[in-house]
Amino acid sequence: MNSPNNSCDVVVDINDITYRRRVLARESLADFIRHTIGLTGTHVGCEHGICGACTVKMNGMIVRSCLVLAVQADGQQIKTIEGIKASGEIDDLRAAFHENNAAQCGFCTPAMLITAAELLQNEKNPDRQRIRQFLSGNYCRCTGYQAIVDAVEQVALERGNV
Amino acid sequence: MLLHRIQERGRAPGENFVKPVDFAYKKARSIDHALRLLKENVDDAALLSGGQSLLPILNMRLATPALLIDISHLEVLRGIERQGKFIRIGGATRHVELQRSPVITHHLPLISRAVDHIAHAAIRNRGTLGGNLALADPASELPACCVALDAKIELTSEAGVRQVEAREFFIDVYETAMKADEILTAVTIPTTTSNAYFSFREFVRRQGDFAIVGIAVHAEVVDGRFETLAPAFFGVSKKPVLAVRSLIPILGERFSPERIDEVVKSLQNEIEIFDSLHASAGFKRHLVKHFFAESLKEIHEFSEQ
Repeated sequence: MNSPNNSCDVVVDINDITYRRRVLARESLADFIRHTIGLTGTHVGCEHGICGACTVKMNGMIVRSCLVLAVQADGQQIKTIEGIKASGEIDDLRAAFHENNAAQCGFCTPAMLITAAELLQNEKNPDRQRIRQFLSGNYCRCTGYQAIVDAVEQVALERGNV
Repeated sequence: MLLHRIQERGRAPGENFVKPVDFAYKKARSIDHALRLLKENVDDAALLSGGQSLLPILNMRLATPALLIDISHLEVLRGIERQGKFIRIGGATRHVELQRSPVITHHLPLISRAVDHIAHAAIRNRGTLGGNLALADPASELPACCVALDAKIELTSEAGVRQVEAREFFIDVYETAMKADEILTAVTIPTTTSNAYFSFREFVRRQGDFAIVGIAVHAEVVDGRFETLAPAFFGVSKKPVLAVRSLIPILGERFSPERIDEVVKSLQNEIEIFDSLHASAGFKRHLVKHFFAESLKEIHEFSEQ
């Protein structure tokens, strides 16, 4: 049962929109993003930090939103896949995922894109092994990863040529 | 700190999702404030630092605290600082900060190497050293490094500050010498000498997973002889284990493959090895012996260069 005393007021910036909401202390940031804000691109898989499907950016750093409480996001800046997509920053990555069939059921895809984008932002020429290593925190149960690594490698090479 | 209160809890009908029980949340304004809250709620509170160990435990309802006291934002608990012959690391220092710190790279290369093996970037961006040690997963990397490096754990309560040797700190699975009214405020690690060498290895099913077996070794080699040798194994037992007795034949001696073989044989008697979900004790025993022999060989080769 939820005690009304166990809720808190938060002001959270999600994809450049400021939300003031009352949240339960026990509510995860992932559930807050999905159920309260209604942004369902952030997926909830294992809820203990293993599968990576709930990855979002908090103050510019990737985090597991199932392992952050909504109340801890008070005063922080969150970017979800919706906001990152809208920025246009990952258009090439999305296209490459499409071309390479790097998404099947799509459950892992938003977080896979966010994680891959993080790698490509920090490292110019990651090789396949490095790509696999960096994406190792994101489970995909359909593709066998080959196509995902292909897509990320393709974008790494394309961006390197610009 | 928390896990002595962790309880196995049956799931009520309809309770078939992974959400923590209802709890209150308080953001501590200072260490004193956190300590007061902790004392007032001593039987029923948990400290929240990075949350990367605590929140999975809460989500799975292995622990059911009534209050979370958030200390992760307290700047005074963060930072990496050289103090003479020691490096002092604040309890709420995040793994990513350890990974990027030139002080750690230069003075504590073993920690540097270990951090790369801790989970994944998204976890390292939140997880903290203090939380890692206080929650004391026996398969975790940094507890073993602290044991190998002979670190001291600084515990603060309203009664004052005490230092506990890392080698005394870990007691059992998720259990440490921390008392319920204490905060892990810092870790102090001796800086390495010019004779120091390290080795770090672990066996995992997936990059970033908890280790099935791992080893963190700190050694000092003088004139080709092992003057100090501290191999800490993790993932094998209920806590990180330092091998001591078995090392006697090689301490103060030159590297010799025959002597190492002798040590490797007695290691399995000294270290208690448990089965786990992914590996039998027999397989782990094999890894322990293999990693130990490889690590010593690596250290010997480095020291000859």
